[in-house]
Amino acid sequence: MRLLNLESLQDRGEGLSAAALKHLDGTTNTVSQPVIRRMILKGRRDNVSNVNDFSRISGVSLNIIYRELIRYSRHNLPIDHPLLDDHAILRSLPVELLTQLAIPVLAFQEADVYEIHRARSTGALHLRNQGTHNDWIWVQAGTEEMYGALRGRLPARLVALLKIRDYRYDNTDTVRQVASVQILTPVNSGHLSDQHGLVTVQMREDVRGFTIVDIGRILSLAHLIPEEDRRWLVNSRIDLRTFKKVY
Amino acid sequence: MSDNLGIGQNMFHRLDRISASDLYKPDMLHIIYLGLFKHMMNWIEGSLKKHGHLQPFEKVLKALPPYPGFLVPKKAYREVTQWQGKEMRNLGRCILGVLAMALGQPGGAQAIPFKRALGCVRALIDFNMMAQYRCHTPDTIAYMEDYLDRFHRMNDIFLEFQVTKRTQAKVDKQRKEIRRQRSLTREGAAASQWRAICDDNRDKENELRIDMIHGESHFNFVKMHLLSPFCDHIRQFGNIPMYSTEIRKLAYKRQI
Repeated sequence: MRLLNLESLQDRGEGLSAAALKHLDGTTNTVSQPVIRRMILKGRRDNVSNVNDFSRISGVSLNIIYRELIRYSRHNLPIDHPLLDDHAILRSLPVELLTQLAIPVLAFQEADVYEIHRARSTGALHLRNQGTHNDWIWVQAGTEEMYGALRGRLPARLVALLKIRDYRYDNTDTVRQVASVQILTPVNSGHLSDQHGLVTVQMREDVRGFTIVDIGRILSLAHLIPEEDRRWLVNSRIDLRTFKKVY
Repeated sequence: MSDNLGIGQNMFHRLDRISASDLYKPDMLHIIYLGLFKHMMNWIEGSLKKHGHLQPFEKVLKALPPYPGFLVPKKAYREVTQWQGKEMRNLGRCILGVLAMALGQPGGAQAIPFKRALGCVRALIDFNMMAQYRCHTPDTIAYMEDYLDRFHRMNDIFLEFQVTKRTQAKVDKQRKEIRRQRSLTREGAAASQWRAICDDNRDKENELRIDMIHGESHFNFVKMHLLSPFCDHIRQFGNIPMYSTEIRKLAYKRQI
């Protein structure tokens, strides 16, 4: 037996009552809407409550943090809700430092199946007594046309995960979820090597070592193979999704 | 596939609606992971040993960072005596980068062979990646055919490491014969003269060995040919993972 849906019944000119049409309209839509997953920040550390504490723990100077916060505010926040340039106000904002970000990543060739990538950033602390753990991640850094085979995405090291509570507007708290990352630069404009077909990235001395990005720009974990000091190969064969994106 | 294989009369012959040639199903686990990947790793190991890059290879392999679904190898490559399918699959996800890193930036005479070796490995890995797709378009199938073609064109770089037992026996026999003949000329020769003869013979022995290996070795073995029907199979029956025996292997485990 062939099942008919609302469109096919209407095409055949079936005279259906308004009640039946309403009922069918609610039931014949067999394609469910994709579930939108959200990123989740976990692992709050108790010893950080403001920017000063974060500067002390991470070893990044306050001036750099202020500069990056203001740059982040100018590029990402609405004009009517910016973070002010005033250092005193920035210093007073409550800050939480977190260690883990659960990133839902759509499985390859699936519409509603997600894999959870857990990006960890322990800073200078050891994870399970096995050294520090600051994962490599993919960050959306530009448009599809940029960075050659990387197509607008750049690998970066996750340095810290922060929640900044902005209490100054609308009588309600606005929480900015941000990540501080060290973005790598592609070698040869991100084009694939003739020899092995992989992209090489490097950490340049002259590039900012501390950048604040919105966690929404973090796409997934990245797999990099260390080549030499401050150079890595992007392993694009690590999974099907990366294989399809980096070519 | 039926055009390529001369399948004679067998138990499926003359059965209604059954084409014996269509009964064969490509199997990622046994053909690619436990078949060609295993051969490829032997070729790579031989090549790395020859050029003295085995140590950097193992160093890079051990230093790989973790990734979801990727098991970081805990042992050095040479310490593993038996490879499982999942370990080979795991290796397939990193081998290209690890090999590229181990070979480094070669110069001079090594540049072309290294490039060909990487090209061959890359073609097989890319073919394997695309064979895992669950949806295909004519473009993806064309890519697969291209990768397979490239793999067959470039694999001659590993020919000297594809030595069968029979070829090895012939090489050993030839070496014994050369040494026997050399020992006959020893009588009456001074020590320095004898050393010069030995050196000369060693070079000749190596040349003959390489010639024999190149003449006798080939890639004409079953698993190599079993990659050919993959693309036709996708056109006719759909994606490959659907038929892979990996799914059936899960039935050996207790399902919770």
